[in-house]
Amino acid sequence: MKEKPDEVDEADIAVPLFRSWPQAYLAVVLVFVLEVGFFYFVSRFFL
Amino acid sequence: MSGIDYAVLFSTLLAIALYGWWKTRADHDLNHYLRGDASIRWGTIGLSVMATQASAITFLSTPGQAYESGMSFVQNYFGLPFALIVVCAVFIPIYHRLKVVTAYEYLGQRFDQKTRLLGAFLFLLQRGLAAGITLYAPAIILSALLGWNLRLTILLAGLFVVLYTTLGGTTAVSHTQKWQMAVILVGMGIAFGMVLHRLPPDVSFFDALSIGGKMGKLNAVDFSVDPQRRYTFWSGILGGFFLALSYFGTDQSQVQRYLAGGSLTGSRLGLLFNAIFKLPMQFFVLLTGVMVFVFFQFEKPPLFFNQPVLERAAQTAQAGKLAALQTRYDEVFAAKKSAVRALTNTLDSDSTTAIDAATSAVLRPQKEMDNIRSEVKKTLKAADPKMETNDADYVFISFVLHYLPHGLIGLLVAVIFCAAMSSSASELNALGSTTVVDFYRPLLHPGASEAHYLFASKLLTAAWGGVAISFALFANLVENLIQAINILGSIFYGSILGIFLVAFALRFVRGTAVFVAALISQTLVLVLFYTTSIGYLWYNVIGCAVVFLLSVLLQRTVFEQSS
Repeated sequence: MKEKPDEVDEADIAVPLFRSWPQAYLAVVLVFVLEVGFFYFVSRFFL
Repeated sequence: MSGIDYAVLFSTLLAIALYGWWKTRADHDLNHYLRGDASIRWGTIGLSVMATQASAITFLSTPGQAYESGMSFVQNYFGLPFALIVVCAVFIPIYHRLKVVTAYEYLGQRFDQKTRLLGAFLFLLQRGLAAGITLYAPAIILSALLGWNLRLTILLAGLFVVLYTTLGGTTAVSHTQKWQMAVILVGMGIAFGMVLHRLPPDVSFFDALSIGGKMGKLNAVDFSVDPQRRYTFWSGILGGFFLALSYFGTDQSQVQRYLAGGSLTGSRLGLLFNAIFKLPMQFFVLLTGVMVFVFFQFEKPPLFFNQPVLERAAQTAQAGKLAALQTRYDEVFAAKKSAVRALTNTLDSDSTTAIDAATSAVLRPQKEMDNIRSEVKKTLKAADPKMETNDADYVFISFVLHYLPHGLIGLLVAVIFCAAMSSSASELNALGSTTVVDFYRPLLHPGASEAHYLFASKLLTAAWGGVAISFALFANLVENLIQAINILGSIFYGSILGIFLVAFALRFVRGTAVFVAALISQTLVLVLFYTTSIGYLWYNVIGCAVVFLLSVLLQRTVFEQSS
């Protein structure tokens, strides 16, 4: 039987470092863009 | 290797294994053994997930790959952050809500027992074979270069892993992986620093990057849509997404890592840690390979990095040809070294024309050296058709053994062992758990006590360790080890991912439809594997798509009444 959402541990609802999980995912996407941007810069700058 | 190297190697491995044992010495709880305890927090989960994915071959092959063909391989991981977001948002909440130990338990709850067993069986088949390769791959390279006995090397790594994994279960695996990953990161950081230190004093890091870039090694991002190119931004985003989704979402060796500790937040943060840091880590390992390449612009690299193979070939009728190639290689290298020196001096000037001319003067002899190395590989094949002619896996470890001081050599060999052991521990832990939870407990021995299942879990983990070690000891897997692991994964991952995606997305599809679809899909992939030469990454997409479409079709037609 599935648990109800309110059975989830209270500690699991809080998101350390971020306000919410969607914001955490958005942060990951932004970091990805920055990382790929940096890799692209390195590959072009030293060409 | 000297005495101090052996001391560093053995003390590192022993300390980590003892730590794993000490951390779990008083733990006799089945739930802790399978799921880990509350001491496993998100940082440990993050490092543990990273350590599971990064096998010894990652640190042996990847720098060699950058040495040979540059940094384009990093694009293979571009889909990973997005796949991890999907796993965090969709997979993990369901696994936590249902309190499953294995991912396949979820299939049993969502569909039926036979679908659960099919998923678990495909995992055991694929991962059971891969566990042997995980131990075999570094052993063959280290034994070749260090002159160690291959079987003893396999046994050394294998027995350590089996011991602490069997005794401590998930908690031991997660905690030891944390320290193994720390050794790996510190060791690779020191190796990177040492490559820079061994460059000529007048060559700065910036100069080294410029030389690598001018020689085409910093090609980290390629937006080309040419399907002939192996690694591009697009293939990385799409292919990498599917591969990472099936690996992180459905492979028990990873699922068990992030479910350890039992906290939803811990699982998610551990995976998001990987979503952020995996790409920089791969970039850094590849950059180390590029720096080794730059180092070998000033120091003559061997004609062929797998020296024992070259020495064996020199004992055959091809000895004369190899000697002639070596002479030509030495001459071309001397010319190239002067050209690289000239390029280094020109880099400070503002003249683009002068830099371009100096770059062309370097690339010409570089191309000739590449041609000579191709000739060498053909000559090796002529000497013995069974000879291994791919020496990329030997580049980094050759640098370590010949140019690092004693003590650090031991540390870097410990890095390779730690990487092999951390991946292997996750595999054995997952294989043992899946066998007990999905087969032994429900089918062979239901209703027994917790103590009985704990004992069975330990016994089966040790048994899988025995299988992996035996496979590594007696298999003859000389060529293309990393490819073998990837092909093996790709053959099975597609169907497994398809089953899970149907479970999450298509509520109307029942067990029998998805079960039959998965069987057909797996058969189709195996037929394609044996009869065609399509790229193995496509098996992930084909397997997944066939399960997805066919299960809808079967549910709407043949099995409509069961809806």
